Amino acid sequence: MENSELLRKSKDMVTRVIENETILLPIYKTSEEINCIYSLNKVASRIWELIDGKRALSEIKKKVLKEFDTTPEEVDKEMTKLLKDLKEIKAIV
Amino acid sequence: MKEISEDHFFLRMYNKKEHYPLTGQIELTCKCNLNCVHCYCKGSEEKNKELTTKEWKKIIDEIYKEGCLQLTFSGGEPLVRDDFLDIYSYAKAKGFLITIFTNGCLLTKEIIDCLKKSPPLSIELTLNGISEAVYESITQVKGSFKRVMFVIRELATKNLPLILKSNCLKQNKNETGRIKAFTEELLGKGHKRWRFKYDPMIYAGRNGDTTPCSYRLSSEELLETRKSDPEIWEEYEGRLCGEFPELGRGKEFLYRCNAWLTQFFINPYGRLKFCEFSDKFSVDLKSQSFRDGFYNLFPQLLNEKFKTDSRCKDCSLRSICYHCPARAFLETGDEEAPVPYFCELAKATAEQMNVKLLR
Repeated sequence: MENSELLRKSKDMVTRVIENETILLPIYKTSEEINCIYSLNKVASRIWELIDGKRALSEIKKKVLKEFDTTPEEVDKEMTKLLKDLKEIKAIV
Repeated sequence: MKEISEDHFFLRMYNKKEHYPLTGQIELTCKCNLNCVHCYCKGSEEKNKELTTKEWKKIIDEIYKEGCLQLTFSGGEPLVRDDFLDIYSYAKAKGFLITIFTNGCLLTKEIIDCLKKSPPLSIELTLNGISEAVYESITQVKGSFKRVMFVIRELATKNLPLILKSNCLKQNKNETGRIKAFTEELLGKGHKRWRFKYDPMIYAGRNGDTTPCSYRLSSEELLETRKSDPEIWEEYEGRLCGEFPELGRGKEFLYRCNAWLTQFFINPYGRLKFCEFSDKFSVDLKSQSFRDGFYNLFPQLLNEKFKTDSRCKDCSLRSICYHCPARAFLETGDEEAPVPYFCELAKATAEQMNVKLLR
């Protein structure tokens, strides 16, 4: 994960906020996989919101640090894990 | 990020017991290509009043904003509408989890290919017979059995999530077990999205016509039907082992159903309803907002109390009975009146539960 990296959301992933919980729903999935959705915690939800193909990861990290009561190490850990998961489900390209 | 099943997510939401429009059923039309003897929709069609594609999309936008996650497209037969794919794709692109209730006969190659590319959560297809004679004695359309069997095999080949479901009627009382066996042979066993389910209840028509009720099975026949398959019987017996559920509210209150907390219905003419069988506490979405109907009008049903000395009010079997104001009104024209068939079923269930009848 490079700090200058720009990430974009996949068009095939829909974001919904249901009763204050952010979830990701793939539109084009196989029938076998449709029975799963992805739930994001508050920090992950904000990171996901900030991914727009324009902001660098370093900028996203700065914003999250400013908005949440957390440490740079914790944000790093959260972002690394989240981006790995998002890549795995092809939510970011 | 946590990967969770849709079922787990819904269960978590339902357990919150909050008033929130999580799931909705959209009746796209009352029209149908079949003419099933037991249909409750027949006769309630209003010509030239069905919503247009544009109007449906506007409503879908509105319920999306309110946070609805799961939509069921039903009818009539939803595929009668030539804009079905347009409406389906529109809702799907917004991230709705979609279930389709259909008789299957109008599922063309084009529609199946589109569903394969962007699958629904579930296709619930009604199969009320496993022989041509029985199936078509219910649908009253020649050639429909051949067509539906072709479509079912196509859906299975494409591995689309398919639930085959059957109503319990006089005509098919000897076929329920066989329909289940056919389903399991075709789709396998033990998967929630590929399976058989049956519905023992037939309802009166929404226009007040009680003809569909004449096709109901007696409580004895229902028992026989359940015994026709060991697993159906086991499931039924399992449910009988529990205690009588609590009503949760004082017996003077008319409504005991809580489905309206998280569910809603919209009829083909744009009327938002808390129940598919009732027009009470409903609003016209062409002139009023969804929010107003769902959050302000629906809860008013909680205030409704019995106005008569209906014996349903004090009945000890009320918590296991099919009776509800909407169903009673359909059948008797009086939402407080007992429905003899429901009484018969409740007593039979209580006997199976080995519960001493208190009344």
